[in-house]
Amino acid sequence: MSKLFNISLLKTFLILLTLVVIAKGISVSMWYYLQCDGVELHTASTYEPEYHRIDFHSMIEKERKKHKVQKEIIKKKTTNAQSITNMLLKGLYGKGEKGFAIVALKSSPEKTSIVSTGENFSGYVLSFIGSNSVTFVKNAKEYILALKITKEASGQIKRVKKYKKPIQKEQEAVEDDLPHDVQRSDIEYFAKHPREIWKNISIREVKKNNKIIGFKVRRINKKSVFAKLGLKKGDLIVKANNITLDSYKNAIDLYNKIDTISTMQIVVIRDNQEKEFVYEIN
Amino acid sequence: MVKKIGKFFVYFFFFLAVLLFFTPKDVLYHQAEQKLNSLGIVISHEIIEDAGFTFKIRDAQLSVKKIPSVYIKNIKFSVFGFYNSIDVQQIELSKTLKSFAPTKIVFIKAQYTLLNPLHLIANAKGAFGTAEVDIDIVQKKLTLYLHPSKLMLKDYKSTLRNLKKLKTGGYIYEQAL
Repeated sequence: MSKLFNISLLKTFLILLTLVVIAKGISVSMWYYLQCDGVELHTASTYEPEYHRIDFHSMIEKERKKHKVQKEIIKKKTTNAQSITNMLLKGLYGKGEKGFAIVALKSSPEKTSIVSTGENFSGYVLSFIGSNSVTFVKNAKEYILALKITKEASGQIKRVKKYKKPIQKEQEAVEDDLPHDVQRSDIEYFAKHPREIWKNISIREVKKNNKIIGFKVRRINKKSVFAKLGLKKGDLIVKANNITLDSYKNAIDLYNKIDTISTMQIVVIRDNQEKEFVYEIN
Repeated sequence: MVKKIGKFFVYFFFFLAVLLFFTPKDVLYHQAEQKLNSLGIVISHEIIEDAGFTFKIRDAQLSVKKIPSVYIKNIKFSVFGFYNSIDVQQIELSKTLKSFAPTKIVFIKAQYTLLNPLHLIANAKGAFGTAEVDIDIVQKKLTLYLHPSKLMLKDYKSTLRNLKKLKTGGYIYEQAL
């Protein structure tokens, strides 16, 4: 009887096949017992509103400037215009080209008339209401009539004889409350050369119950930009732009966004008291 | 007898090779990811590729304590038992780490072979210069030899202060594990 195939070859093949099956069995069991999901970085999707500072100081300054410009316009008009000598301005209401004035003739001061802008009084047309004067137009010429300020009213303003300088601490407190101006060029420089930051300031996290509660200023170069910003050794920085600094991530997120923000607010704990610093980046 | 022993080794290595080929490397990788996660290290956005005898990861973003710290273009794991290596290429550290070291690393290659069974060796090259790492498994000691680049010598003196300067011009750092 002739052999159809080599028995030893078949035996080897069967052994190898068995090994493959065992290996596959082990890998399937590994897959079955060890399978788990991969880990992805999930940052908490908390809504972080962009920090906007409503600066009443700047708003008031803006209004003051606007008022100053308006005054200058009136002053300019006043210098070019002539004054009316036969009329009295007893009161006014409104601003610019809207409003009215209470006027009377000098000959009969008690007989007052209310004149709206655009209306005629004794040949004069009321054209402009200022803060303490009005402008009339007659024959294409402007005439100014100023409000009469009584002695009682003017006496309310007193001149201060000598300006008393506040003591240093008070002065510092006032300075700290005001927004500090920060040059964007400085920020760009420190963003490019972060090592320069650590040359001038040393900050270390502070933990309570194994949780970060803030970052403490351990060393600060008094001649550096950081000292000029109001920070002092021992300050515990707890918040920045309303974000609680309770992790490195929050601090580094802020550091990474520094190029795009225009206002920065930080809250520090100094002498057990909360203190706020505001920086306007220009 | 010799023939039988020879046959046994042939079957044994064949079995190891087949087992290595069929091992679900992605599952083992995810297990490792879970372990790293407990240490605050997360690898995300990566593309995993099981290439039979090797395992590759592309475009991985490594974060430490939720801070994106390192971007890695390619990682290749080769595990053959007698020769094992991890080849990491095109590494870029986050700009927040710029103050500690140059951010670009060309490669890091770590290897373990049965020819040197008591040591784990690693080499690295980047903008910082070149480095060799030797981990003594018995003594549990890490030794790093650094040959700093001009950039490292010029701009990262504070980092180099943590290392001991050698007479040859290089730097050494030793750490017990």
